[in-house]
Amino acid sequence: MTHLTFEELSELSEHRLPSAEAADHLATCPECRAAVQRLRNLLATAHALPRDVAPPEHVWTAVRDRWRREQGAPVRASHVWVRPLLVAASIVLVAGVATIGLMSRGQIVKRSGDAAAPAHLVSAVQTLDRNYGGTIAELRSALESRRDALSPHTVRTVDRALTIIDSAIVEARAALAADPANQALMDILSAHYQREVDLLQRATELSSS
Amino acid sequence: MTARLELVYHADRNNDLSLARAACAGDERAFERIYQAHAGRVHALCLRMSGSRTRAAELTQDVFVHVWRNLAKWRGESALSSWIHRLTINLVLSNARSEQRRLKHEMSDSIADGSDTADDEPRRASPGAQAPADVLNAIDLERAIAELPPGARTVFVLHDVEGYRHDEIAKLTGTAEGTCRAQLHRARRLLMDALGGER
Repeated sequence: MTHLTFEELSELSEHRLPSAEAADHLATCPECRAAVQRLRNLLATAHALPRDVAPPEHVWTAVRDRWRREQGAPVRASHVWVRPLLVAASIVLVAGVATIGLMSRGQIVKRSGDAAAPAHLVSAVQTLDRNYGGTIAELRSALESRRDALSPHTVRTVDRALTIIDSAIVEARAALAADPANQALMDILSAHYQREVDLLQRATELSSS
Repeated sequence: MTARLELVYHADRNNDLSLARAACAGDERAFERIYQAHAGRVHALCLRMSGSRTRAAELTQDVFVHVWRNLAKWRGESALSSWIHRLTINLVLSNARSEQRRLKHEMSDSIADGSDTADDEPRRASPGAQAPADVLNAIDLERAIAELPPGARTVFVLHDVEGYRHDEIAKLTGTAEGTCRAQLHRARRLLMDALGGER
């Protein structure tokens, strides 16, 4: 006897009939019926998986700090950064920059159509520059003074990631200059700044450990 | 919808709207309440779709940054939870696509001095530790989902865990419906194998 294919069993597990022949076979084959039942058990378990899985505590701390930074509120120095390895962090940051960079290019093409920048956006850009500019300068200076504590490979990795982020910032600023009313570009610039701060913070922490 | 359910629905929606407005105006406590109400759901989705605890924490952070930056655009037409859920899926998929592009081009020295991968290593089923075919344990299933190839994992999580239809998944992932179906069958087959099911 030729049994049903896995694809047919899979369709049947959702109560879909792939063909009349499959239905006929199922009616006479206990082995295939058992296989469908096992698949249904799998689906029932998958459907019953918990809807909520609490994130680690540091996630809220990091989100809150980013919120405060963008709101211009003071951020406590005592970060609860869990220390993922710098290289992994850099990869994630650079991947993020790449994603945002692609979005940014899309935004350059997709102009807002309103060349005049609303006052609140101009003010938001200035606030961004003010808030991040100071923090980035301080972190860069702190990292520079502890550069010797890092391995040459780590220094290269950090430098490379910073170069990528800096070019992304330049690109976003150029796009904003061409389309100053574009809120999405503002968000992208802000995300680039934040990624630079994240990377510098992690590198500084690593050099202090 | 019964009158009572309708009341609860509108009360929730109004509460979400008030919180969103307060958060947009810079109220950190309001934003924290939004975070506390939705973080578990967002993190669960990030965890299952990425298959990595480290990535899930990063993605959860990114989702909430996107939430506050775009909260003003949420006008209450859909539930806040649905809006955040959709935003999470789009962000995770967008990251996965960029990660795939990066992996194609990344030079091998980028991973030379990392040891954080312990958390992200694909967890292989230990030989001889197969569960009986009729016992599908949720913990085993979570582990097996994390081991699936990314494409199959995405479709399985969206279809069999989250309840999306194939046409919706095809739209979200930018693939054909037939491809989604094939990925789903593949995921189920791999899961059955990993969990000790025959065929």
